[in-house]
Amino acid sequence: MSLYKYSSPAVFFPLAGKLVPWFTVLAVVFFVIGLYLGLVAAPEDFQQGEVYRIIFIHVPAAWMAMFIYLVMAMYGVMALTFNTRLSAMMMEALAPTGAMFTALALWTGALWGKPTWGTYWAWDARMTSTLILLFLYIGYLALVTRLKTRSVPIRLARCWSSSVPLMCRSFIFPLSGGIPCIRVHRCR
Amino acid sequence: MNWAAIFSLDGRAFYIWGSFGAFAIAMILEIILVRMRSKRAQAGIEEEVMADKVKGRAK
Repeated sequence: MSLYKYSSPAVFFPLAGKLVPWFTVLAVVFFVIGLYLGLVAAPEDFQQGEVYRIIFIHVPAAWMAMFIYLVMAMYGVMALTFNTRLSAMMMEALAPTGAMFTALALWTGALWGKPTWGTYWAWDARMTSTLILLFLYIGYLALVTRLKTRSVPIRLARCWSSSVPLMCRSFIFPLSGGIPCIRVHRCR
Repeated sequence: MNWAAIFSLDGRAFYIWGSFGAFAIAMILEIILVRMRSKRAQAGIEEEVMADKVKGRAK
């Protein structure tokens, strides 16, 4: 059996449809556990107080923003090498979600920055690269929705996969020192 | 923790509920938008399959 057959949307969609209810159940379960741990079980931060709880949505949102970008790049490479129809479709399907998580990361970051750093926005490398990431998503969406030809996603795939090192380099290095220090009573 | 404390959160309620509120709205929007995109994608595939069939017949 070859996995290549799933690169055809007509074969992939029935499988995806069968998996959706299972993933929905998993998502709801993890959602409830995550919210309980973040809002109820986790103790207050001794420096920041309650406001640090934004971390439980800010960081996953920022992670998803980058992760979806990488997954789109992966599909871009697959679209280029195998010229499969599903790869380009997956890129198109992921872009709005990626844009949403990037916007969410910026929004929650601003709301966390104000009470902890005293400002909603600063032009530091991490924030600026996240803003550029949002523009990349919006630019991709604008092109894909405007130009409905098959060759466009392929050409975009090439740009997308080649821009990954740029985004990763500007993001991962400042990330290590960026997040406001979290200390919890229990750890002291 | 009582209800008043949950709504004030040391005076930081705007930041915390502003974040969690935006998150909740985004999640609800995401479910609606994904359904719309899924329907559109399936309709697109059906159209393509039909077009392929028509082409096959023409040959």
